[in-house]
Amino acid sequence: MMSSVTGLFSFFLDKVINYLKLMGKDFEVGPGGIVVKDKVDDMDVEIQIIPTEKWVRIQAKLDRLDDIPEDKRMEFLKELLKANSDYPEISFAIDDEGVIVSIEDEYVFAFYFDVFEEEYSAVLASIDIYRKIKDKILGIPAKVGKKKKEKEKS
Amino acid sequence: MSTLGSEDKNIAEAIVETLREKIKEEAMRIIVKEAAFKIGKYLRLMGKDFEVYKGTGVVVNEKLDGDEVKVYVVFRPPEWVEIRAKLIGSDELPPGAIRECDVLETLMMLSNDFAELSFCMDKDMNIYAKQNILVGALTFDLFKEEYDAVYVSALIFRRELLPKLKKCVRDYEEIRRTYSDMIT
Repeated sequence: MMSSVTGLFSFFLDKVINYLKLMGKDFEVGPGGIVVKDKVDDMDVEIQIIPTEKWVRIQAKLDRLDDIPEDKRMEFLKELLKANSDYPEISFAIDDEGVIVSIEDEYVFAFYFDVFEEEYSAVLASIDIYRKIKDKILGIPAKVGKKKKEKEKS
Repeated sequence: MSTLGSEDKNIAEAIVETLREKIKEEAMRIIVKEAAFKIGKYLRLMGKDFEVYKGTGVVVNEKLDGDEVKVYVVFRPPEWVEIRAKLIGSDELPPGAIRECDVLETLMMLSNDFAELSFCMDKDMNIYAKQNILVGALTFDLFKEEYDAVYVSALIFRRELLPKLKKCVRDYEEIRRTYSDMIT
């Protein structure tokens, strides 16, 4: 797992905050990093930004792997790994809680605005790609799935 | 002063469009040439021997535990450099074994746990390690880090993952053989 170093953590946290302000983003800073409230295709999404010793990770949590029907799971993962291959800077992974995530790790030596903006945009773009894959494999149109989830919550 | 007729306007627009395309092509050629020059310089600084494939990129033959892994550094127009190494071919990993041995999940979990690792798969189900660099962000430190990331991905795959996968594939094939014999 990645570890954080306090001094560097605050240095890169300050940089990220400045960059997000430049980009006009709405965000909250917490002890573990930053959560940005953004939109993809008019749907609300949360992007987490976690500075660590050597990397600044930008990530979006997608679905729990367990929530993908077992008979479609392999085909689904295959499509995600193919997307990793087909699109520059798109990287789907599975975190230690079994959640499918889209991640971008920015090396601290290359941490400047242009790269940050490009990698942040790649995570947003990956959410759209993810929804299209979900639609293709599971047959759930992204917007309908989201509305259904919101209805279930209320 | 004479004004242009619609036919003249169309011709003028076509000429401007052609010029725009030519300028774009030329700009791209200069960007790629500059990036290619940098990549050659960086690889030499890293002490790597490489072969150049004109118009495509370069390939470095890396030694890995007595074996050889080809690391490709190629351009992905309009603005990307891609570093890629093939880790295993689909001929070595049957689809059934990929499912039974949780290959895809394992690769995706490793990608999350280590920032250096990034795995992907092509349409023929060959598995690769891959990193991309924005041409505008191409500096030595970043290039070295991304190149090493691909090398480390290949190393971890070969040393840690491949032996387990091969064992799992063997077990899977054996179980399949045993039960198919019993059924027939």
